[in-house]
Amino acid sequence: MSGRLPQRAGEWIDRSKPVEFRFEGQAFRGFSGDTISTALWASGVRLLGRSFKYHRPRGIFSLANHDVSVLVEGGGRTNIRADIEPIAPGMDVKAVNTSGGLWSDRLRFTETFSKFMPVGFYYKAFHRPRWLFPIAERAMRRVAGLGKISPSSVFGHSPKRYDFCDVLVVGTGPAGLSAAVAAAEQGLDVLLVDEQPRIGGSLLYQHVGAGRELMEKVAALPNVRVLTGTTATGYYADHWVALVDSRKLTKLRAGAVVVATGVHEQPSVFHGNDIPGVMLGSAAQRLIHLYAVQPMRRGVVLACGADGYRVALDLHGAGVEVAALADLRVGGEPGDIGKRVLEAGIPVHRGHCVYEAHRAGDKPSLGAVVLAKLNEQNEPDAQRTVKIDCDGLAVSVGYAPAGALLYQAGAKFGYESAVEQLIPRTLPSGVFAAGRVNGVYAPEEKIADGRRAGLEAAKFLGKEVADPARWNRRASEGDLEGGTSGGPTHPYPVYAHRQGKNFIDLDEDLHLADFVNAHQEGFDNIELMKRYSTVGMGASQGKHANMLAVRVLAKLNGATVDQTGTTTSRPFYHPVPLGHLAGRRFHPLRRTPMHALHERAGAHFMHVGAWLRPEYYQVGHQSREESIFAEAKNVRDHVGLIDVGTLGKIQVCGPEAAAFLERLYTGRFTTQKVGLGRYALALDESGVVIDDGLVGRFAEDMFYVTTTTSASDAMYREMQRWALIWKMKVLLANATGRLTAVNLVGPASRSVLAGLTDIDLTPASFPYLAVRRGMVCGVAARVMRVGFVGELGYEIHFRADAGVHVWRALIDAGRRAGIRPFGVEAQRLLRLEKGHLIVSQDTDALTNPIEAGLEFALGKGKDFYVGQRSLEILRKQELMRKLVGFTLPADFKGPWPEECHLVIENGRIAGRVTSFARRSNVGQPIGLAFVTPDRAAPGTRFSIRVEGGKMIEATVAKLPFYDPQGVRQKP
Amino acid sequence: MIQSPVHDWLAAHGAKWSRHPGLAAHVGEPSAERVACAELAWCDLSALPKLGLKGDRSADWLAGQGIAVPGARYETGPLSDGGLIARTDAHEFFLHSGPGASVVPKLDDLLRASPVSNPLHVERSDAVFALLGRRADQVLLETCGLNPRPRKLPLGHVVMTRVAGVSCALLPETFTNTTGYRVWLDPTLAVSLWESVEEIVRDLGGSVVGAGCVYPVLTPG
Repeated sequence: MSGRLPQRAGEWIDRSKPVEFRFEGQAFRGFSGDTISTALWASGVRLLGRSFKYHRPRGIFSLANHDVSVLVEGGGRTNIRADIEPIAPGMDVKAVNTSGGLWSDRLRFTETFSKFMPVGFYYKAFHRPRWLFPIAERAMRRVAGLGKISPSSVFGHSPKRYDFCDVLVVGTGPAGLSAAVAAAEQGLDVLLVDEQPRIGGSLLYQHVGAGRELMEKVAALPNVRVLTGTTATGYYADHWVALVDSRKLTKLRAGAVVVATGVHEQPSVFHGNDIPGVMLGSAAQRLIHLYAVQPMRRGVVLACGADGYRVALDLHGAGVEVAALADLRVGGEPGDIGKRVLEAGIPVHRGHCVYEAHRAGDKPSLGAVVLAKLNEQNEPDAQRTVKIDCDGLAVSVGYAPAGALLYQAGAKFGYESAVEQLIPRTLPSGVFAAGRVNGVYAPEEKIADGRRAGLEAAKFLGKEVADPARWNRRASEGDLEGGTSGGPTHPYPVYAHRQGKNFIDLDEDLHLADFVNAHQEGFDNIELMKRYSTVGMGASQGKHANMLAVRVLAKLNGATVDQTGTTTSRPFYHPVPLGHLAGRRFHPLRRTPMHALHERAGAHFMHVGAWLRPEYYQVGHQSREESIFAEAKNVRDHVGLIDVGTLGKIQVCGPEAAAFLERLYTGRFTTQKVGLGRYALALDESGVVIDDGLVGRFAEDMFYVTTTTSASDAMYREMQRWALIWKMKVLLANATGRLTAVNLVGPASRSVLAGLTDIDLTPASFPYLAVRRGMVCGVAARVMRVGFVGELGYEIHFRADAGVHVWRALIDAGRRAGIRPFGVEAQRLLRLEKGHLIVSQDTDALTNPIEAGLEFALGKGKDFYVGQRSLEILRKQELMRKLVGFTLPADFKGPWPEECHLVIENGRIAGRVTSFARRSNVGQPIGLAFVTPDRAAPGTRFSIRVEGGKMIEATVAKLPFYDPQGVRQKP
Repeated sequence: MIQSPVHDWLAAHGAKWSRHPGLAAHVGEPSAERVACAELAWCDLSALPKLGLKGDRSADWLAGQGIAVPGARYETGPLSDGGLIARTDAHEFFLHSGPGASVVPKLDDLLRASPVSNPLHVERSDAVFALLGRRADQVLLETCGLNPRPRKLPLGHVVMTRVAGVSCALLPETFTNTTGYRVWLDPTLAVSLWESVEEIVRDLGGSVVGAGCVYPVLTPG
């Protein structure tokens, strides 16, 4: 740990807790509280990562969560930002995007070919011959990139979280703290968030020791909650802000938002400005004050204002030999801080820029910088230079506002020349800006500006606050930085160099010439420039590059920054792990009360809408098809029990219930006798079949309606809608979930049920399609005789919480009769044998009842039902298709048709298969299909195109396939 | 014969059943449950009797049976057996008996025998859970978009919302020795919700408790 400084107040490391970890296969040591970058830097390691495109060596640059050239992977995670990732015992990481390791990365020679890879080269090169591009693309992707996701990594879920507050304050620098205190003192619930692990912002490393009183106030206020390590990554409508921490994404709804996010320090553009050792001034200060790491041994500072001089003094105080301070201003720093730098013996080179940075021989780290005198046009004079040996350069040439949230909220920014910065000119309702993002820099001014913002937020939320604007401080009004000459930001710290490699965007390895070239090619608009050059599209999202790009383009266009504009800021402001976005999965599944019993009986489940239903029950080693057929055959021969709790169940009551149903469904219900059930077919206004079911009349004004499984909610909504539109006196109650149902069906069903109910089941008393109320297994139930599968059957509806009891009782009672449960697939086969269609399987979004053979369900002579008028129109038109039954020869061996295979006629699509079963109780494969009407007559043959494009022949058959007289369901 | 939708889950986790059929008095050690109840706990109350009424004569009918009917939509009130009544719409009520389990069965019998369709007797098998403890809000914040602060979710009210993706009625409530929320939902979604919330409760250091925590009169039978 050669670079570790003596213990200092406020350091984030815990020296009593040494931590050992591995980087690139080597063991290193740091302290608890160190990040990977700081621990390595303290250990004398300067090469921490490789750049995205050219694999240039990179080290600490911002140390502010934006060092995206120093990404590491390990422990199943990748693209970990080493500048903020804390070290942990046993951690073993390596740099991403290398071949052969960081230090001997074979891909570092890519830079040799950089002349052949100008901006946008992949839009122009390798496109002819066409086969070349995929090869080139793969090669480019292999060379350039970030970490690789390991598909074998297993992570736990990331919680989803909502949160609420009156005032959200983003940023805990002096302005944010002050805003939080001001709002909290008005009695508001304040949430204070900061991406750094501790509150204080720049007070912790730039103005050390200041603002302690504010921090203590925040800690003492019970109505201020603080979330550190949390980034406000996106602003959405109505003050909905996405907060991201290491574990989760929180959806925060605030009453008002104060954005005190500060600024991003900006680099200077010169040859070699990315060599490890070149870093932002704030990065050097963070190293010193937060991690007690000496950033360099012999250093140079590039400055354009008081902040740079402060960096020089901090370095001096940390034992760094500050070999020079280059000040971009001819006049230098006139205030007290300028004198202190001179008193410290630091040579100051006024009106100089850094023109070049050089490596230390072959080492991937800084060895020297070349300062050049600037002329009046802010251009370096290559003839008037001075070379200074150093291992570090701290660059402090200004800032760009961290205004992403404000942009996303709809703020309008304008360029303020007093601070050479974009600042918010107009803000949306309920959003306030404070501090440096607002162009306010002097410490006391920032505190006042924060107070003003906090009070304005309180006023916005209805608190009586007297003139918050009295605290107003805007950049153009006040003293910028107590004695500073000019603003804290230089308007154009960009210096051309004939050898290039003067990077604007370190994420994407874009240097100045790339922008000049793009501009020459006509990309002279900032949005076009962004897309063509990819500036700002790297992992840091251009936090150090976007403003420089705007300045460069403005100069190339001879325009102002305001005229040039900025790119659009969209969420997320900072990368968010996909796992955070996915969050904990809530996929509610509906289960019937008997679900556990089905599991124990070997059920294989299938998804039917939101429901889980038994598809079939596995018995021994039977195949799926064998199981399904065995279940169906058992129903035909003995008795079966199916869980139909998923059916929609709706109570329709009231004096106009019958009239209501008669309008809603196609059939007649006013004439329906109490104690009888009727098939019900529902159409939409265009005459399309949308549902079917059974309507049972249990009293003059009480009906019980079933719907298909997937349409229960939709039909209930339809009923509510029509009841309102028609203003009819009906009471509707959706009983789908709170009641359940089973269908006991098969020749032995009557004998099984007889011992369990007080209902008289004799055919005369309880005939086919009758409905009754009574007790079944001691539970109040509605029982309906239905014939969907074509056997004697009783559909029993009862309260859901008695489901297990009733199911068990029926199974027990039916054991001697050979009862076994059957699943959805067996039911589908049985109803197919009867030629009964399933709405939405055998019909689609255009099927009308004439095509589907459902005309029997259309009440004749009715004045009105939904869809009636459309049907009348359709009747006058030529029928386009017809649903028919079909068979294949009993000895057919395949290839088999499947649902949705096409019916082909003269090479054109003439229909499709809607249902099919290879094996049936009628001894041959059967199915339903749409065909053209001229092919609908029994005995007609038609072609089906099956898997692989082969054509097979099917024959239209008369429906039903099984028990055409219907005697089995009506005994 | 009445069974909670999460009966199997409770049985698999060592539930000790109360004398009330299907209601677990405890799932863990009673002393540990008491601690959990104060901090964070998840509890099943589904087996207590429930009843629904619908129709413009419901309020008068209920009043005629001596029930104190909540005056406004989404208000709740107590039942004499320790349960509660909620007005879920202008003419719609939901009743959930307490451990005495006397009110709902009586009304249920009366309605079942009634030949009229107004008030409409609505058989309810809803799942009813209770999210209990000082940190119950933390669970809501991970599962529900509602602001759980008291002034947003006042006591004595019912709120229709979604918890963990499931449509629910949520009732802020003061229980014996603790506060929390009663949650009503469609029983077919109960297992999904139970498992989702149970996992979150466990993540946050809470646990599943028996109904004995909410109703101390319920002891293992």
